[in-house]
Amino acid sequence: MSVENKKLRRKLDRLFVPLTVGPTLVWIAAIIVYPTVQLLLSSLQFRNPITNEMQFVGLRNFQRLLFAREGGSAVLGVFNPNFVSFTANTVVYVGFSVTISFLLGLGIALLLNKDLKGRGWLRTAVIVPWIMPYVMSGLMWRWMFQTEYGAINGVLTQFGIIADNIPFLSDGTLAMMALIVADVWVFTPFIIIILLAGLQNVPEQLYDAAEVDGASRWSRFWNVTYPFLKPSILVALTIRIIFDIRALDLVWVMTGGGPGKATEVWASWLYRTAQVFNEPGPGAALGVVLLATTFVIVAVLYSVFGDSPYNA
Amino acid sequence: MANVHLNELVKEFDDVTAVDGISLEIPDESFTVFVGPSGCGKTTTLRLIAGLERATDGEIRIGEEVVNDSRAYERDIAMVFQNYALYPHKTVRDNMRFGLEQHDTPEEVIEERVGETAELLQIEELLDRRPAELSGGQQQRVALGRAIVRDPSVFLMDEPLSNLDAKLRVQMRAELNKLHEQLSTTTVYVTHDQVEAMTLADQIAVMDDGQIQQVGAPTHVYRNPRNMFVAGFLGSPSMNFIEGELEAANTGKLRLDLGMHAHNIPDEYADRLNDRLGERIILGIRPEDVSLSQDGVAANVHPGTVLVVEPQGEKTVLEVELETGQTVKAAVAPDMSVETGDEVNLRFDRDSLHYFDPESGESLIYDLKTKAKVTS
Repeated sequence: MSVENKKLRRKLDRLFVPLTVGPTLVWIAAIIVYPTVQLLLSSLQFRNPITNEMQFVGLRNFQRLLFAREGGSAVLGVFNPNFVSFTANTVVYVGFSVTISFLLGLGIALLLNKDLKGRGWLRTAVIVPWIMPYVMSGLMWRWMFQTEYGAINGVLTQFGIIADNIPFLSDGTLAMMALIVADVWVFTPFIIIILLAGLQNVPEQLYDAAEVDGASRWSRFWNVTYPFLKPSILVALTIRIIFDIRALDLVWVMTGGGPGKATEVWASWLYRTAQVFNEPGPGAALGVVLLATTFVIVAVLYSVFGDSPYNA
Repeated sequence: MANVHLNELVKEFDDVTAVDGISLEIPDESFTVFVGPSGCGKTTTLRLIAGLERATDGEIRIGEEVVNDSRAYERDIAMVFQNYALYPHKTVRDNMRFGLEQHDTPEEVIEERVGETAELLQIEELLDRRPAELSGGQQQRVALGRAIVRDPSVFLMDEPLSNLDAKLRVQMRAELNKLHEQLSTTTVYVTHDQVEAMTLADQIAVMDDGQIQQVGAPTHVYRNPRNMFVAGFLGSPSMNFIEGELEAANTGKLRLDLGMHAHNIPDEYADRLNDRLGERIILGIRPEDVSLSQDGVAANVHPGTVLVVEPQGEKTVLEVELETGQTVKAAVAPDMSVETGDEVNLRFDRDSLHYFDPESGESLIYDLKTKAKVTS
């Protein structure tokens, strides 16, 4: 090879990394960095409804959403009652949905990991709720929980469990319960799939070793299964919580945040603020709050489940 | 300490019979090795003893107790696995403690046992590391430690050295021997490596096809194989098998027709083989029992041409083609100057001959050979 050829080759070699990574970086910048920066900027602005001009208002959007107005009612002395109530709704909705679907998903995954007859068929069947569009699932559950002709009231009446139809979606607490049921139904399959994949990676010999060591079932789960499942739990919970915090579809379709504001969660509040009330600045501010909260939750999850045998 | 008794043990998986009615007495304090090719049922047998598989039929006794229905941890056994099966997220100390903790052993006893075992295996400085930070050899020691610390009646070892490199394997083999001498715990060991089996065992059980083909002291089994499988499996390079027809010589003595040069059957076997006159039988001879004869053509000396010369350091293995076209391997001294294409004369050591039935593979003279051993 001539000296010129060698030089050219080296030059091409040096270009390899920028050429391959470059487009990805540009893409990431376009879809992540730019919108995030735009979100942060918007959160500090307010659109004048008359002139349609964006004005810089500093942290006033945050102040208006999170803290009580002067002279207005306040929770704990300073907080905006709406903020507190919607946060509580979000915590209840996300907390119950994630906890129930996680425990249910783990149980089913453990079951499907055993040598059962028809296991392959069952594995396929459990995914069905998840592959349905969320809006469709929402509509389906709204109909199921409908007071007059809903399937659930129908079944309960038929079996003589209730005498009068229950107004599931027009009672605050019941509406939240209905939302949680629908959410669990939609998202449990996702948990099952992720945890099942994790379970299949546990080395069989470790169960043998634990059996010989005299570990009880519980101890085997805790000392063998759980450590290997931690990365899957981390992925499942992270994605699950992120999905739920920003999930709008089910809530919007099933209850629209109501009755009243009984099921208004952060995601529906954000949508209402930004789209229905046409206030992009406060909407963006809520987006920032949502984003920050998500980061904190992910950090906590990592600290709990981040350590696993795979990085031992 | 305990003996282990297997009686007509059977294990079937769906349509496959992995263990096909084996019976064996494993004496207290013995080191018994199950050896055989992959899929012969040796690991399944070990797992049956461990309680990790349930027997389809037959009986397993550890000590005086029938343990067929006992769980693994109720059997007072400890097992060393092929891939060590160390808990990767636990430190070496916690790996060793785990079994004791599951049995509610008092803390001070756990500490003492772990300390003693670590000292015995020289792994004290590794106690706070995780398995991933250890070399294969060190992981192997920890796996042994986890078994030893439990002080069980029986150790079960499933090919524990197979993941180590050749040098380390030899070293660990010696250490296992030493450990067994120190602890005297009954050990059942599974391997496909016949050298490992020969060096470690005081009782060897050669398995094939779910059945024990032969049991005995390693040297005895090596010198007196009951059938062609055992004869061929033990020893490297493996035993030569030469097929020929039994005929009567002019002298009236029996001989095996191997082309130009017949092989004379020693007198002590003649009576036994007489009924097979005119039938084909198989002569078995180990390569190390084949030597190069300097005497020229004589009785029981077979001329041939060297096809391959394999110097192996401590010996040189020759592959020689006999006049009949059959090939025979001979292990000769490394300083012997032989080259490919050389004409050589092979002498078969008279005391090391075996004769087998070509159909069943059974030795035709097994009982005669073992009787001769006992009386001599």
